[in-house]
Amino acid sequence: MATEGGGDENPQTKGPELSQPASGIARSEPTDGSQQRSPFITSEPLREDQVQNAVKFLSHPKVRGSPVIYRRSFLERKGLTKEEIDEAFLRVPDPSPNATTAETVSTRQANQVSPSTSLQPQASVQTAPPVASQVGAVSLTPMSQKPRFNWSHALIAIGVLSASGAGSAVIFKRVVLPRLKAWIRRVAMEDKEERATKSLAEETAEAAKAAASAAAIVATASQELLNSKNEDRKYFEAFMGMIDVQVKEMKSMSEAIHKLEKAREQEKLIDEYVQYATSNGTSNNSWKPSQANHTLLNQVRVNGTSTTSYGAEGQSLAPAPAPAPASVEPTTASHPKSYMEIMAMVQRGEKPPNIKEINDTPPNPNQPPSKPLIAPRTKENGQSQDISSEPWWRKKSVKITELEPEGEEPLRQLTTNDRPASQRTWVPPQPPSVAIPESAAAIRHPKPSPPIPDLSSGDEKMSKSSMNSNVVSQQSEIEEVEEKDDGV
Amino acid sequence: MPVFKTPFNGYAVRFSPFYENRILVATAQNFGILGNGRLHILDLNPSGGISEVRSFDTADGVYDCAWSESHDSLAVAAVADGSLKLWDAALPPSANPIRSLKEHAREVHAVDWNPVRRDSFISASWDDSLKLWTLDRPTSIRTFREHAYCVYSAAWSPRHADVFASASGDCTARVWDVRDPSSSLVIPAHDHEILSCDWNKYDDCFLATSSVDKTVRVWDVRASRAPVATLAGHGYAVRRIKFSPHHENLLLSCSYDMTVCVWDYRAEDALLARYDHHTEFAVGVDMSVLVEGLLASTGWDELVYVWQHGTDPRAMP
Repeated sequence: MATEGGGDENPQTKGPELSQPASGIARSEPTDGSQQRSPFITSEPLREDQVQNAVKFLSHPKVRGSPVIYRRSFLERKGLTKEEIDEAFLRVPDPSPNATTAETVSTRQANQVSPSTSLQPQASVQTAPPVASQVGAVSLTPMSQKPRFNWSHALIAIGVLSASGAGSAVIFKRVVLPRLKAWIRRVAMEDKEERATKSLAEETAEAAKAAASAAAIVATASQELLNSKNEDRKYFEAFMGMIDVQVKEMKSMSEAIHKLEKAREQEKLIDEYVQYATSNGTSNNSWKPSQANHTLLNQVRVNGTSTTSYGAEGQSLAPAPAPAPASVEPTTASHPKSYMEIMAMVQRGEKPPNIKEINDTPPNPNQPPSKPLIAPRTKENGQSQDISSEPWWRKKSVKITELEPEGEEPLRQLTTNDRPASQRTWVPPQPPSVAIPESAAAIRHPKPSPPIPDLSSGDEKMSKSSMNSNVVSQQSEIEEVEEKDDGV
Repeated sequence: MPVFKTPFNGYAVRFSPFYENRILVATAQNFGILGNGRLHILDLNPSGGISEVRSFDTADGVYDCAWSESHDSLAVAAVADGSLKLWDAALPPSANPIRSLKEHAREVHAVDWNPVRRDSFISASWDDSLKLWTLDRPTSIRTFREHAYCVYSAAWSPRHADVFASASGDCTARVWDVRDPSSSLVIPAHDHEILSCDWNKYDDCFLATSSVDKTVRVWDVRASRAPVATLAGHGYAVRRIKFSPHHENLLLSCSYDMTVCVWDYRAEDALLARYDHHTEFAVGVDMSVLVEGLLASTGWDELVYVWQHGTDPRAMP
C-alpha cells in the first residue's frame, strides 16, 4: 500500500531507497507549504536539542534492538514532533535501508497490524493472522532489511505454521481418535458380550428344562407301563381263578353223575337181591342185603377214592344208597364242599358245618417236657438198627422194574459225587457248647464279622448305597439345573 | 407205598430226626380257610402201612409243624389263630399241649426248629414278622420285623447256629443272624410271592427259594445278584422245597399243579423225577434225614404218601 504522503508528494519515487530522501524532502517542504499537503504534518520548526536527545536515545544499543514503534511512541511521549523524530531517525545510522519510507509504511502498518499482533499469541491454528503479524514483526525489527526478506520470512512463517498445524493435526489423529475409537469399541463389545452370555445361559436353561420334561415324560410312561402290567397280571390271575373254578365245577359235576349212576345201579341190585331174598326166605334178610350193601359200599368207596376229583373228598357219599337199611360204615357228614364253596360260605359269614369247638389251651402252661428217650444223633452213628430185616422204606427199589434203572441211575451218579460213605447220613453238627437253658435263651454278644453273609451284605449295602448316592447325586444335579433355570 | 388218609386237608409233613419211621403231619379243616386243625404223629409199619400214634386237635388249622431236635417226643405246630403249640407225645393227652405261645397278630404260617442249637425255633407269620422262641421261655426272645408282607417260610441254616432265612410275599428272601438287629442279606429273589426257602445241607452258602412264578431259584448268598440256577417245570406255584440231606445237589419240591418233583440243580436237565400221585394241591414235602431217599408228601386231597425216591408212591410195598 502506498503511503499517502509519499505517493501524493512524490509520484516519482520508485522504491523504498528513494523514499528516504523523498520523505525528507517531504518533511522539509511541508515546513514551507505544509498546509498544502496534509493536515498531519506539523508546522513547528525542528528543535535541535530534542533531536539530539532522540539521536542519543536511538543510538543506545538497547533501543536499537527494540521495535521502531516503541522508539517512535517513546519519542512522541517525550513530546517530539514527527519531524524531529524523523530527523533523529535520519541521523541515527540505520542498518535497514527502507527506514524512512518503511517508517511511514510501517507506522501505518503497525497501526493496522497492532490489533493483529495482539492476536498473535492467541490460537496458533489461525494461519493468516500469524502470518501477517510475523510479517509485521519481522519487518519492524530489522528496519534496513530489504522487502524480499519479508516474503521469504512470510514463506518460512507459512511453512512453519503449516507444519505445526499439520503436526498438531497428526498428533490429534494419532492420540485422540484412537482413544475415542477404543472407547466406542469397548462400549460396543460390552453390549455384544452381554448379549452372548445371555444367550448361553438361556440355552442351557432351555436344555435343562427340556431334559427335565423328557425325564418326567419317561417316568410317567414307565409308571403307566407298570400299572398296565399290574392290571394285566391281575386280570390274568382272576381269569385263571375263574378257569379253576370252572374246572372244579365240571369235575364235581362229572363225579356227581358218576355217583348217581352207581347209586342207580346199586338200587337196581338191591332191589334184585331183596326180591331174591324175599323169594328165598327171610332168614338171610338181615345180613345179605347188609353184606351186599357192605360190598357195594366198599365198591363205591374204592371207586370213589380211585377217581377222587378235584373238589370232592374220597369220603363223599352224599348220594349214599338211601334204601340201605343199615349202613355198616358210618357215613360221614356231607363233605363234598369244594374250596370255592367254602370260601363263598366264609365270605357270606356262614360257618362251615363241620367245625367243632376245641379247647387247645395247655392245661398246665409250665408243664415240663418229658425226658428224651434218645439222645440227638451224632455224625458217627450211621445207619444202625435192623439192617438185616430191611423195612420197606429202606428198600430203594420195590418191585417196579421199569423205574428201577431210572431210579438207580441218578442215585448212582449222585453217589459218586457224594462224600465218602461214612458221612452219608447228614446229621446236624453238635452245638459248640452245652445247651444250658440260660445261655441258650440269653442274647448272644455281638460277634466279629461273620464271613459269608457280611461279604454279600456288604456288597449289597455298598451297591445299594452307591445306587442311592447315584440317585441322590442325580437328584441334586437336577435340582441345580432347576435352580439355574430359576436364576436365569 | 403206604398211604394215610387224614380227616382234614394236609398242610405239612415232617420226618422225625430221632425215629426213622415216624412222621408228623399238620392238617387243617376246610382247606385251612376256617375250621379246626389236627396234628398227627404217624408211624411207618414194617409191614407196609402207616398207622397213627397220636393226634392232637386244635381250634384252628395247623399250617406247619416241626419236630424238636432236643426231645424225641416233642413237636411244635404253627396254628392259624396266631399261636404256636407244643405237644409232648410221651405225656398223656390230659397234659397236652404243654405250651401255647400266642404272640403273633395273624396266622403263623411256618415253624422251624434250630438243628444246631436244638433249643430254639423260629416262627414265620402273616403279620410280616418272625419270632424266635425257646422251650423254657413263655415269651419270644426276638422279633424280626422287616418284611413288607406275609412271611411264608423260615429255615435255619444247617451249619451256622444263628443264621436263618425267611421267604415272604413281598417277593424278597432275607438271611438273618439272630445276633444282628437287622437282616444280613436281602435277595429280591422273584417277581412274585416267595412261598418257601431252604438251605443246602452241604454247601452252607446256597439257598433255594420257590415262588408263585412256578420256578425254584438257587442262590449263592455270597453273590446274590443272580441266581445260580432257575428250575422251571412246575405248572403252578411251587409251595414247598427241601434240599436233600444226602445228596448235595438234590432238591425236592411240591406244587399246586399236584406234582412232587425231584431236581438236580447243577445238572443241565435239572428235573430228575416227577410224581403226580396227588389229586389236589401238593402242599407239604419232606426228605428223611435218617433214611436216604425216603420222601413224604401231603396235600389237600387229605392223603399222606411215604415212598422211596425212584419208586411209585402209589404202589403198594
